[in-house]
Amino acid sequence: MEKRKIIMDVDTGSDDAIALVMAMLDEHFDLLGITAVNGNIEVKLTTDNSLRVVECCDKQGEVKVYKGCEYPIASTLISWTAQSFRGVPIREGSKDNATAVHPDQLPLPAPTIKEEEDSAVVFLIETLLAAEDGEITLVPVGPLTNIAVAMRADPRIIPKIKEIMIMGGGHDVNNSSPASEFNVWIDPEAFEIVLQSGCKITLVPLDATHKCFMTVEEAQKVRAIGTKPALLIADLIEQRTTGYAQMDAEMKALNGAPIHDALAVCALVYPEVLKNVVHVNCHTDISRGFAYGETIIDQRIRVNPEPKNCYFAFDADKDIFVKWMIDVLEKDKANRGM
Amino acid sequence: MEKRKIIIDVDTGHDDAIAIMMAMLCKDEFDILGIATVNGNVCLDYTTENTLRVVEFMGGGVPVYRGCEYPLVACMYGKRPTLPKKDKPGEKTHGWLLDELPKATIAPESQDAVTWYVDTLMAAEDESITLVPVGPLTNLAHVFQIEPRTVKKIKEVICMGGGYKYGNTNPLSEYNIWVDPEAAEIVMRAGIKKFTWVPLDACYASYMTKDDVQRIRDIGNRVADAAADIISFIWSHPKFIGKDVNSIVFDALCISYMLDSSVLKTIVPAHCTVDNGGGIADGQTMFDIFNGRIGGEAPNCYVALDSDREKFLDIVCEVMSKAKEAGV
Repeated sequence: MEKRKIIMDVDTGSDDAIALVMAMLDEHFDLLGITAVNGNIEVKLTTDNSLRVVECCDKQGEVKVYKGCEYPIASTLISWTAQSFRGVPIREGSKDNATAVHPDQLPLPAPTIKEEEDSAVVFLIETLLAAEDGEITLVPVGPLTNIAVAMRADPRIIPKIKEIMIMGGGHDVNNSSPASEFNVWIDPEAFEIVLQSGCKITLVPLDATHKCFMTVEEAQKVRAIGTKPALLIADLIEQRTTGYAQMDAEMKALNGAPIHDALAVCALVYPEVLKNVVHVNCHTDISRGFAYGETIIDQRIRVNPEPKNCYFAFDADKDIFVKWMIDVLEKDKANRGM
Repeated sequence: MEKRKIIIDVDTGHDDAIAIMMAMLCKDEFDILGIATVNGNVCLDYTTENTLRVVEFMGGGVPVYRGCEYPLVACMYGKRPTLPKKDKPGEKTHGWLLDELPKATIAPESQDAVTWYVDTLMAAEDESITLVPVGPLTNLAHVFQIEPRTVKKIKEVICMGGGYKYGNTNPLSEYNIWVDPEAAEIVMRAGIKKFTWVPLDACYASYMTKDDVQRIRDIGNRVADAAADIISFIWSHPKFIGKDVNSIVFDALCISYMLDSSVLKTIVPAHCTVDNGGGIADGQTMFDIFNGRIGGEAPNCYVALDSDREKFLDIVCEVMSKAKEAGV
């Protein structure tokens, strides 16, 4: 089996952590590196958490972590945007480690390994420039600052990218403002730079990820597997369930939480996990008004439609997602000889 | 004397050309690590070609790196509909090349300017490199975004841009900053230890007249001749024909300052912020030079409000007269 070469760009983050575990353990992938970015929490924390997850999966020495951009490109420079009012990073929900959707530190031991010396953007540029055309898949599941800055610094990386599987955006479902999903909202300009890049792009928006929530009962099944990564995932699902229950009545009723970022990883192995995937024209609102950070899909029926620039998943299949997760964790358990 | 290690960041550009010529002639004073090009006066292809022309004309040996083709975000709103200044095929409305110099036969380096900056600065000693950006600050903003640890490697920055009393692109903003206000604000916030602005106020004070240019031409070597031609462009520019204008050689003032700091006058500490609100003041450099006031912020830069015109001309002539002995 030829493995798919991927780079994970993350703001770890509880769901990022689950996505990272899956990217490291699923044998379909050759994970070239992990680039951390400011987002759910500060970049020094997202880097630290990524290192913790690497060690949790016993991949130290094999998978390297790079620290990326500390600030969004432009959204916090302007004194009157909501981003700058709230300061960066902006966290979702509580700041209390026990109940936060994204705790400062994941419930894992402090890392004994360190991030690489190079900046994440330099790593992205150098790795992509050294690759064949269409060789590497990017899986950004945080704000797109690293990717956008790399594309602008050296546009020659663009043809090297096979595709970009992005967790971000929302059509009917949003979370950070009435119009915007968190990853886009933190750095709308970066998101738009990537959308205009000409790469093959699939968006895994909130519309899809909210269909892929995992319940506390399912977390128990994962816990029963008993490996370190499985226990981490079970802990995080429970933590997210507690966090979401505080801010969302609908989520509270579900007794579970969406695992946004992991769905983007799953979609690379099982594209059918994404349902109702439509080839669309999509742009980001960067006008800094109420719609700042909205992903706008052109659904007008026209004889002269706007050119299509990405695939947008409106729905997802929860059963495929959960089965994939448990299968990968079981296989890892077998590989460990447990 | 230890040579000063410099990196020049250019959008060449008539005045950029004079700055590069001067820097390359001062072989005892400067160790030019490289020249980075950026979108600005004209599009990146043209600023790069123009830069290569100057470098080759001056005998080569200085690597040129292609920088950023677009401002950070200012292009995306429709705020800057005419940028980058690129010709459509068959038109010649925006882009222009330095026709005073022969076409370049040398090529830029294969590495892009931003990653080269990061590599070079990260490999350098702390406070060892002087940056001389004389175009939009796009490249540097990318560098500081990518690798904030580069900031402490910088000895100082001498930047042509901005204005205290003057603007040139609109009433309040100077062109380099107006092209990419967000980049300029990122650079101002980066925490650079010593940052000196050479704004329009200083540049305008060191205008050159036709007589001044004749003095350069009278030096009588090929570099001085080319410099005189380039500085004279304004008197045949369609916009200025028949008007009583002087030529302003903005960027060369930064190089002159490194040779003799007394060429800049009234250098005051200031707190500088760059407006990027998208309104009429977009790109304005706001220098708070009254730091005694209540609520005033601590200075983050120096700004030169005046310059010594005679001294500037003397320096330019002295440097240009080195061309023969330098074998250029």
